[in-house]
Amino acid sequence: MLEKNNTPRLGTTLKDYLAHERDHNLWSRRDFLSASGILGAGSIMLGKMGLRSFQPTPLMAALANGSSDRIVVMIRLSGGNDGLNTVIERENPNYYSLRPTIAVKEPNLWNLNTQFAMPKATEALKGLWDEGMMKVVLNVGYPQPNYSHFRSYDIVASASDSNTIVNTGWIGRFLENEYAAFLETPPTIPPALQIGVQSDLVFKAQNANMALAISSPQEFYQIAQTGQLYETATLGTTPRDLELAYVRQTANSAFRYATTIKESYARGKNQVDYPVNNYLGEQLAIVAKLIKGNLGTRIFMVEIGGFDTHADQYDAHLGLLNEIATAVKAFYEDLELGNAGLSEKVLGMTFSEFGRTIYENGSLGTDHGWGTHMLMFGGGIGNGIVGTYQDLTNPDPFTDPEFSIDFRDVYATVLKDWMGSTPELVDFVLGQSQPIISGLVPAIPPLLGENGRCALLGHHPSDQGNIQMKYAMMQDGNIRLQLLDKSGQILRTLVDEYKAKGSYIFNFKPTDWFIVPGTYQYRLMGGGQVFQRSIKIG
Amino acid sequence: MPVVVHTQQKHAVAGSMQPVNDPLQPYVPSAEKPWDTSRVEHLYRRMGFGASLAQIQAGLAMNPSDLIDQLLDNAANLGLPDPPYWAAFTSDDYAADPDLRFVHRAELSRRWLGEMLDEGIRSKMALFWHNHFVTELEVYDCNNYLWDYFELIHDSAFSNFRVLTREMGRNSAMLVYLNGNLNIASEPNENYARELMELFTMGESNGYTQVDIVEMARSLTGWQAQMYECNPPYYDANLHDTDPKTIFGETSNYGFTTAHNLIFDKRADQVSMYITGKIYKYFVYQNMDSSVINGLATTFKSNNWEILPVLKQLFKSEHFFEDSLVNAKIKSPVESLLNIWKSAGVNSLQITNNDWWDTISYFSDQLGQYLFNPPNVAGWPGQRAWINESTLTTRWSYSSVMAYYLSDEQLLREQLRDVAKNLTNNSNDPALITQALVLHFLGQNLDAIHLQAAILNFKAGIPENYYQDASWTLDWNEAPYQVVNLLYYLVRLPEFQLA
Repeated sequence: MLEKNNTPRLGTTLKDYLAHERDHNLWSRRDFLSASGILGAGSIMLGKMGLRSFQPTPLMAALANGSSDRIVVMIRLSGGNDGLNTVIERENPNYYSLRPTIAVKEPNLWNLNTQFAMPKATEALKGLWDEGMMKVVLNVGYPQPNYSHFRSYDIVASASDSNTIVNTGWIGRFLENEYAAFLETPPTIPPALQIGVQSDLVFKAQNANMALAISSPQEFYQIAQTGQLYETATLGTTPRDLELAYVRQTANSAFRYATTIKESYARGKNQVDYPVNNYLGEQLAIVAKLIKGNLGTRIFMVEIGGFDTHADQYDAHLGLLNEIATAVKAFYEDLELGNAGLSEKVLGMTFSEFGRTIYENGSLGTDHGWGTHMLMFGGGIGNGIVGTYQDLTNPDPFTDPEFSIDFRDVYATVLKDWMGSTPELVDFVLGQSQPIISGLVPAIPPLLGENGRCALLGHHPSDQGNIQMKYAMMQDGNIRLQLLDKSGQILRTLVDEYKAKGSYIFNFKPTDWFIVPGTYQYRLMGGGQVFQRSIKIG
Repeated sequence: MPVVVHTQQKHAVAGSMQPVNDPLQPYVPSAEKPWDTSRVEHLYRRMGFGASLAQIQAGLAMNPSDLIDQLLDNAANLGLPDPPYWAAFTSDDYAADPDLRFVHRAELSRRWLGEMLDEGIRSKMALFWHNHFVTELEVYDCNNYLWDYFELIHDSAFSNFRVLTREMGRNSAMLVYLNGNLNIASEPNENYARELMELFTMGESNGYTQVDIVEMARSLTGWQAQMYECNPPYYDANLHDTDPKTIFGETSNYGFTTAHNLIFDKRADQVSMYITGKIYKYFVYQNMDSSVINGLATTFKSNNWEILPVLKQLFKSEHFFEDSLVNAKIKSPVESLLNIWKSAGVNSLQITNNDWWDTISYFSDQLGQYLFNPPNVAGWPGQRAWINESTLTTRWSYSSVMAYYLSDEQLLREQLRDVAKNLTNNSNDPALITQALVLHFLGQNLDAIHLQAAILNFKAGIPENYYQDASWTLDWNEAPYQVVNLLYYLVRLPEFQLA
């Protein structure tokens, strides 16, 4: 199904300097405008009137505690993790001949099973594997690979096709439906929490970034300990300090999550020692404390960099894998010492923008390649290996062996089986129907209660200024779709009827409804739920 | 905007720096208070909208007194802005295409924003006068009146306050805005006379009575402007009240000029204190230092209401460079928006996309500073009134857009790269570069936690190994984007709102 490209992939190696520059230059097209996640959505300006609401409605509180209490912790490996040196096909001679210098060999391996092994550097994971708390998904990728770090990460984060640019992330789209009225009635807990500097595309929804992004553990500690974004206690009474205190206090009071973060951070306890000098461990310790302190946030993301191993990779890469293994081990031990069954509610998963070439390069490293392996962790998920390893026969230096599992299949499986999302929502989030990897994670059925009866799936322009509004009914019921002005005044009722379970598209022709171009809101109400989005017409 | 009440009570520090030394004595660089980058930055941020690296370097090479003389004298000698072709357009001229009025207004807004970026103190002073002698375009609604007003606040930015006040009394925009055009002998309208005393010269309840207002109004009768036709203003002697008037207890047949003169001759103390106090609040801090105001007021009077000597004395003073007052001003919306570009060394000619200028106008409006349309005759209260939860978070978004624009054009990207290179002697140490950029764009240093986060933001997106093996340099294509990425972080820090 794929045309393999027989030209050298310019831009994938550091030595190819100019092309590498061009590759990295794609960064410029990235969407930097997404909010920090801290507060971007905390207040929205409607005309000259600031509209702010910091208290959740009872409905929102119900949603926040909604469909399931399962949690996902995403571990981003930045730079493109070398899958072949992470999970090794022990007796494949091609592995050793393709990588004469950097292959990880016996006795530096521990066995997953008779066929696959991991480097001894990751032996901390052996306990998780033996106890049925770890899975490997082999050779995950997507069709028509893009070898730019930045573009490929966007593809993986947005779950788009390789040749389509999508400015929202898969988790953002998922959470936008979980927190239907995020902008209008913001929750007091962050729907997602990210430790990392760049506000991540993964969390970007159509109108907001759903994650609270905190640059570093140090910044987080200050927030968690003081319950404030910025401290004011040390400021004095000089004019400069008084004014700075005023601005800081204003920022603090706009920070909705302060109380919940401070309280859950104080409540939760780390009960194991995390590995020292381990940045990932430091981040996971924070996540464990927040989970054990019942923050209520269901999606976390932590990050570890350094995987762009173009040169002298052997020790450096094993060092990174060791950081991951020891940090993850401590994390799950910590969870197990918490409430009974807690580790069974937390799914950990590594991901990376791409894998690396199967052969080693002249600098004792590897260049940008196609598929890479994902590791998944969690109490009760069992152990096992899914997918097919890279084909290491007849390697062509200019092409990579084809991937085996589409990363979107993994997302779909996590959303449906782990998070208990309805198939309609999963299809919407991923833009199409993706196969579910049966048995990858323990499945829970979609919870259809007061809060799961309908979903507003968004809108997009069709032809001649018309707009398609999409929504789904999880069960039969009354549904109402309305158009409002910016201040929330109802202008038109577009749909108001009893509908059967299923997905619907409403074709909105503004001129038929005598609606002039401008910015409006539209609202879907059904089954006790209210969804509201802003919409640009014309 | 919510009303923020500031206590007039002076705090310990402002008090402690009084007596013994005259706070208005010139600042002389010393080992304790060297003439360094942060003081030059301070001067440029207060006197304008920030400074390019080149301006800072030029400033460092001069002594403070010479630099301040140069900046103010240059600004005072800039000459009038060139009138646009529509400067005299009446309603008839717009009859064929009424929408054109709005096109021309947008043009002037762009031009003023461009001036702010390029001219510094002159446009900042024009903005001061706009916020002092307030008019609202949405009320008078004539483009040629807008031009007359715009020209006047520029022409008089550094000239004589007595002359400016008098000219404002017959300025077309003002005649309509405060009903001077309805003030006629048979039906005096006291609106302008009241604000003339209360807001424009003496300060509220400060040396005048209701009788003085009524009599002042009668003295000013006769000036006319027809807002529907948008015709030029004119004096109609038949509408002037020729009977005797009694102002400040003295009776005479006052007319337009003599009545104005009376304010300056009979209430010089009130006027000089009130106006220099307002200048102090605008350029220094909201809580006034009385010994400074006294000194400035004396200068104002003894120089026959010339503005330039007052500004020179203030900016050159020891007091102006007090550490506790540096970064104590909260930026107005236009300052917060333009400051990023200014620090990046952008000039108005480089921004050829009108949408960008119009975006700034829109942003400024949304943040509470709709140019040519202050909220009421008292103007924008400024300082803390600019900031509430809503405007603060919106400032973050809008400032990010301003930073984003810098990444959107090759020329500007290269300029950002040069700023980073010149600040650090082309270092390839991301921590050092971040620290220098923080000081340049923020005008102050950060505590360790936030500096560390700033460094992470600058380094973001580049795999760590390229820093470790020293292959990363400021010549990488990403470098300007990295600076912008850092700016996204910096504009969200509370420190960014201060100048």
